[in-house]
Amino acid sequence: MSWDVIGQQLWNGLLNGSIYVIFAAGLSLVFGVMRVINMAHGELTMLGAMLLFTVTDLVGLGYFAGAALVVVVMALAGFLVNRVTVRPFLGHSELVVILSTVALSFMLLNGSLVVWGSGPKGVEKPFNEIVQVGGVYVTTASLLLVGVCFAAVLGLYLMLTFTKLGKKTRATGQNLLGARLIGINTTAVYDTTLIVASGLAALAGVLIVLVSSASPNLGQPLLITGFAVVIVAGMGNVAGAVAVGLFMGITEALFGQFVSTYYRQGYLYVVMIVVLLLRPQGLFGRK
Amino acid sequence: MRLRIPPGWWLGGLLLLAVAMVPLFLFTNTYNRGLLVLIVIYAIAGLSLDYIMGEMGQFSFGHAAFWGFGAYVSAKLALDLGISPWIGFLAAPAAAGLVGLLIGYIALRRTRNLELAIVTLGFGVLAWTVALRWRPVTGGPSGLRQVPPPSLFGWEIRSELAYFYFALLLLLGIVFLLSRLRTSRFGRGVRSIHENEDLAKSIGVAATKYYVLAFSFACALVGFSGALYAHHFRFVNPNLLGLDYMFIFLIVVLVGGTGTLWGPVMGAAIFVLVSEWLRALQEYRFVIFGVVLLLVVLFMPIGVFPALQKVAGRIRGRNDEDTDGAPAGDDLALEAEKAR
Repeated sequence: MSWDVIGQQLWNGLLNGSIYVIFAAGLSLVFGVMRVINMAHGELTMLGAMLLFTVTDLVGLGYFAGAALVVVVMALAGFLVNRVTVRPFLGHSELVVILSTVALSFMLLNGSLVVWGSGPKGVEKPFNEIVQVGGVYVTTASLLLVGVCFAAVLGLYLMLTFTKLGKKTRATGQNLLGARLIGINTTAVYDTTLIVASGLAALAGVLIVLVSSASPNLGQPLLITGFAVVIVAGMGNVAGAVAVGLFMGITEALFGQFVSTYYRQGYLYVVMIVVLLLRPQGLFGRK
Repeated sequence: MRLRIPPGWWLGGLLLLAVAMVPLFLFTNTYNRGLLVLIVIYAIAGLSLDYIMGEMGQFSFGHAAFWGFGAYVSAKLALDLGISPWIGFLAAPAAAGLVGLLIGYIALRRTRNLELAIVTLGFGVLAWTVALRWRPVTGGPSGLRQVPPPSLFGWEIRSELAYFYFALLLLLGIVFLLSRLRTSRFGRGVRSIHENEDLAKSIGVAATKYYVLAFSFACALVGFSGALYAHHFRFVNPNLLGLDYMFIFLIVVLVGGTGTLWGPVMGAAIFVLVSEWLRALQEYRFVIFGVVLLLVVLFMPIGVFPALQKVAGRIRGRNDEDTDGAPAGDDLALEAEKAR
């Protein structure tokens, strides 16, 4: 087995891993702050990709303008997601919110199938030269993808760590009642959490089209992969999700190359199940 | 022991009788009678999911995988080994129950609630992946075709009407079995864990053992429903294990009402008939189902059947929430009450 193949798979894994990272970061943020599993997160990413296709292909915007527009619109839609499918159910058992977001994801998936059909839609990439780096073929669009992913995750980290909003958000996640007591408007924190998470989900969507095509069916598998990442890392642990996202992306690519292409996704689910059973709090979680 | 007919049975029995009479007058063509078979099959699947949701107070996202698994087991036995579907009807729940026992044992020892929902989701999508990819055994994406129907003394139960009555009889037996199980020592044990696991343990209920057995039972039941599906519609494919059917069973349970025996039966009837009625809307109907599920969770978390029971109770001048003799203790119903 030549080193070029391994290098190529490492790069492919890094690409997928970057998507997983940015996707899982949003999923993990929502869980960490609100104790809510957002089953519609995958469909928000899908919607990001499909809307980008619409605004670039049908309306005629360029990639960057279209992507910015889509991310902003989807982030604002996060407010609605919170108010319609999460907030009304918060006092109930955890499972009820799962059901309401499942309902939302079902609506979005099937609505998108009606609007766009099930076929994949290509989006024109802003640039797509192929560069060769020591035997590994890399497209410039995929370099953009990796760069933006890391910038976004770094931005999220800085926001959570240093800004007032970030501190409020973390306080709410740590102790809801305590946060309310010291005068934090937790309703607003919940709104912004879903706004940020939806924005991240949509960002993942507009980045995916740089390396593959947009399709209404891309949300479901991504959601389950996202769960695998979030659970292996420890639910609510955003930093852990970053490390695990990359790890999962890379090992998945190697698994696909050397073990079985067919069971690539199966590999991720097995890792998730094993970790969940042996260490339910995740690799980086505390009991 | 005095044989008392629990109050829910009057309403449920009338409903069932009405359903049983329907095909003779209303559903006169083959296609529509096929829908009736589907109602019964979904009802059994819904009842089994409700055993997990309503009785155990847990949630399994892998339930459809057991349904599809049961369908594959029975279909495979009949196609490859020429084994009679009647044996398949026993083998499918046995196999699904065994796998359920194994997965329940692995999952329930450590996880509950959200974690359990996600572990079962993991197992479910894993099973779906295997069904899709293991071509030599599962037939790959197109699945298996030409699954034989069951035959009785050389007469194949092929007609929709015969299969409907056959399945209806089984459904009735299952509802009866479930009603006995709920009030049995085991059933009360399961319910006590649902109410308060630590408290149940403190009075000597082997919580994990009860939950594993209850989970396995629900898996066996849904596997049986899957086998019924396979031998009537005469094909199996990986979609049967997928999230679409999971979603259908969820609607069946939630619309009908969790923690009630007849709720899922009614939910199945509503789901199949409404989806048929919305057929003209084609793909839009799935969007509408999403909206319906959201609205049901939002405005009628107790489901249609308990709501009807309440109305019936009020007409008879009672306002107790008697649901089949068991306390209406499931989360959704309780919270609905609290929310008022």
